[in-house]
Amino acid sequence: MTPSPDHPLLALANIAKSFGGVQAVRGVSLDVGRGEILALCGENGAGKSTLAKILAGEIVPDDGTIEIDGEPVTLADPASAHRAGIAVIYQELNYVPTLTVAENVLLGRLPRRGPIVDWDAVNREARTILAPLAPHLDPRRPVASLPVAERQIVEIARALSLDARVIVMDEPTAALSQQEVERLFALVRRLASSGVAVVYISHRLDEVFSLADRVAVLRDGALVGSWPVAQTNRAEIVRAMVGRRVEEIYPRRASTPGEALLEVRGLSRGDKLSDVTFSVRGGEIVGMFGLLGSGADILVKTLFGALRADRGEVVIEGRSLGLPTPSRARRAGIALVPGERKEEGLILGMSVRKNLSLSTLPAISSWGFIREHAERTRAQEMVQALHVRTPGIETPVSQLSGGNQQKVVISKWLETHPKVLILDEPTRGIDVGAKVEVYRLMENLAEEGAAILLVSSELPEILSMSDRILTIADGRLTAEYRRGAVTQEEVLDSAIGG
Amino acid sequence: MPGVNQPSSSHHPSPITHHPPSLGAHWDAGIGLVVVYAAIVLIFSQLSPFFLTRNNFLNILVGVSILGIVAATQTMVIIARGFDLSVGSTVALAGVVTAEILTVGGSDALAVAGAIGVGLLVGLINGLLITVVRVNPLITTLATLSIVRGIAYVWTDALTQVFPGPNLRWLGTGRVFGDIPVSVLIMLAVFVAVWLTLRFTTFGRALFAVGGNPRASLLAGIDVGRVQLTAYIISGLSAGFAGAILAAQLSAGSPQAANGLELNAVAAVVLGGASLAGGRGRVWGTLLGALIMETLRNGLVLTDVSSFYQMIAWGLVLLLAVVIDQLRRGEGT
Repeated sequence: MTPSPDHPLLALANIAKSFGGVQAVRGVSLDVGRGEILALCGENGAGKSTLAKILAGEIVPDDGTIEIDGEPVTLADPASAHRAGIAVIYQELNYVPTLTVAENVLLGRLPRRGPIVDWDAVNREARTILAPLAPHLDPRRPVASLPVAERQIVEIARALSLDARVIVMDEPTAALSQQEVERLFALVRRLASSGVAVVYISHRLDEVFSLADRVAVLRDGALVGSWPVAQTNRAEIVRAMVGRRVEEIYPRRASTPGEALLEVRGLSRGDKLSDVTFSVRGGEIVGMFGLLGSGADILVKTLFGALRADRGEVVIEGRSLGLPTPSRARRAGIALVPGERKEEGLILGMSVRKNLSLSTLPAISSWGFIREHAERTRAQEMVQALHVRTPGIETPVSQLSGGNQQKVVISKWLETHPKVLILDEPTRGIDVGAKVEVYRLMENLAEEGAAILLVSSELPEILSMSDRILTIADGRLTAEYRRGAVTQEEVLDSAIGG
Repeated sequence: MPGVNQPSSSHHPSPITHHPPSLGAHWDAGIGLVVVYAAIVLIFSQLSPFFLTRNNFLNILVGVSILGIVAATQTMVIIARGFDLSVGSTVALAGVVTAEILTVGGSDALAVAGAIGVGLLVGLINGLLITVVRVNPLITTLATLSIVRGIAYVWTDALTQVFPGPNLRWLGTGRVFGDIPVSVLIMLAVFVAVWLTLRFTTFGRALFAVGGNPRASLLAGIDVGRVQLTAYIISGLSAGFAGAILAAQLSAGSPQAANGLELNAVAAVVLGGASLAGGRGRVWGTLLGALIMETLRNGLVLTDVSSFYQMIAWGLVLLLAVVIDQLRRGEGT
């Protein structure tokens, strides 16, 4: 354990918070020392984000005390948290998309000369702040034009530039590529060595073990315990998080692939996708690994017809779709779980029930009229079968946690009994418990004979789940491996391309 | 923004229970409109002895029928994140076509078919431009508004075409079940049809989905373009039919008819609780919105208020109704 002086830099004592009768955080006491990186783990709903919001001054706790460097502080609003030296980087990004990178980084404190904004100074300062994170990033670009990972970097840069003594990061790597994660980690370590206390909230245990000094686990709002990383292991942490033994995060199954269900031949789109050819057989899980900008997401959308291909064809069970359109792809038996859950997977203003029937409207209607009773019964069954935690099927889907939203997106498609299921980053930002359920679903579906294409930038997931692994870089397939016959390094190497 | 999202920690597992959608909640949302409407009725019934009579209310209903028909279908367009500003011009051109056909000796049925044909054509052009060429709906329908109105003027030399009286009398001033005007029944039928569509059909569900999130709808395998195209065609059809009814009421086809109708239709839809951002809308709210506008006009005429003040009053009521609804919504969530 990191040696700490008389009193820790951040000390929480008996913090409690309830929302309308639901105890979100119960009596949590936690210390973080100078220069310490504390990882905070727990399933969705365990209280991690509430705790982060309490530290951000966004939520005022019902009970308990917070001390910074031995001094009690009251975090009544975000401004007082800033004054206390606490910066919080959220999972949900907080930027103004139409403004430039520099404006976002320096939002609310743009350097000025008199009443006029000093743009040279703005861009210069932003460049200095961004340098250790993303030296190539042009501060004059609008944030909206950046890929998600770079938007996240802007967000992190802003928090870092506030000279905080305590930095809380809530799932900061959910959208980052491996290299960007490495760069972020180097930065976090540098910050810690300069005496900053870091609270790092993550679902990714790999990250936790490679970055943190100590791991604290929350379950149902209470602290289960905390362990120095050197004295614990993955299994112990998972057990503490879920409160039950998870034998294996990744299920294993005997794979007996059948006929090729999905064949992609020479699919091309501009300079983003060049002559992509591969096939997935029934009962097979093919993992596709690519770094950010590799074209994996474009491949997925072109394959489904949401983006128009210039050339090539998609063949399902030997029948060509030609250049697919989404409705044609759906009717042919392709299902797509898209990468951006909220923007692409769900209609946030609609209820769980209505989201669940989006892809199967023809099946639950007669003469164009929806059979509501059937729809309700089916939604009820789906929610139970996938253990979607929701107050009811009429709840707006926007009120569900990320993992449960993802289950809704997946169930929506399961009901179409897809022959080919494409999942783009299906476990991004969801907790271990939900992940395991997603993996089980994939396994079950493969066992029933579906062809599954798993696109992911999480190497352990790709390596453990796939029967075959394809790597993609610059819109081209670069390598193919069989399960077990490849290391993380080799896959990464092929994905970096040449 | 983190504040907007439910904190994940406040989420807790609870037994899954069956929640039928409550009609109460649905009606609740439009309570602001009901209050405004009641207030308007109350005030005018004090100011004019002629206001609160059966005859006057039938007048109001006849007066609202054209607006109601186009506003009902405009609700579908707006729910699907669209806009149809061409409906006023379409009503005028359809009326002109109706009058032309009758003048050259065509039958009533042919005249109505001609009017509906005009609507179909305009709706199809709007829809194709918006869904295939992907021109912004506001600009597209603003352009067709101008073009269609222009055609009506050029065709008629800006003259109103009067047609022989007996033609289309059943449609314009006909009454059934004693004294219920045919045009009012048609309007109510259109509202019921739109309601049934929005509430119970897959197309209605698709309209809400497409308006709520077009990208997610596309990726769910919904044919977003076809859904929107259909909405514009329906809007065009209803404007064409409304044009025939208006011509029948006036026994004439006028190129300057229904000027500004499109804005009243959009106002009625928004007044009724629809979101211009798409994904939300209530067809009965639209009916109430249209009724508020027509009742106000009727009351101000009965109480001899000058038409300039009418414009001011109209704007104020629009703001008031929307503000009440907004305040209520703020409380509710």
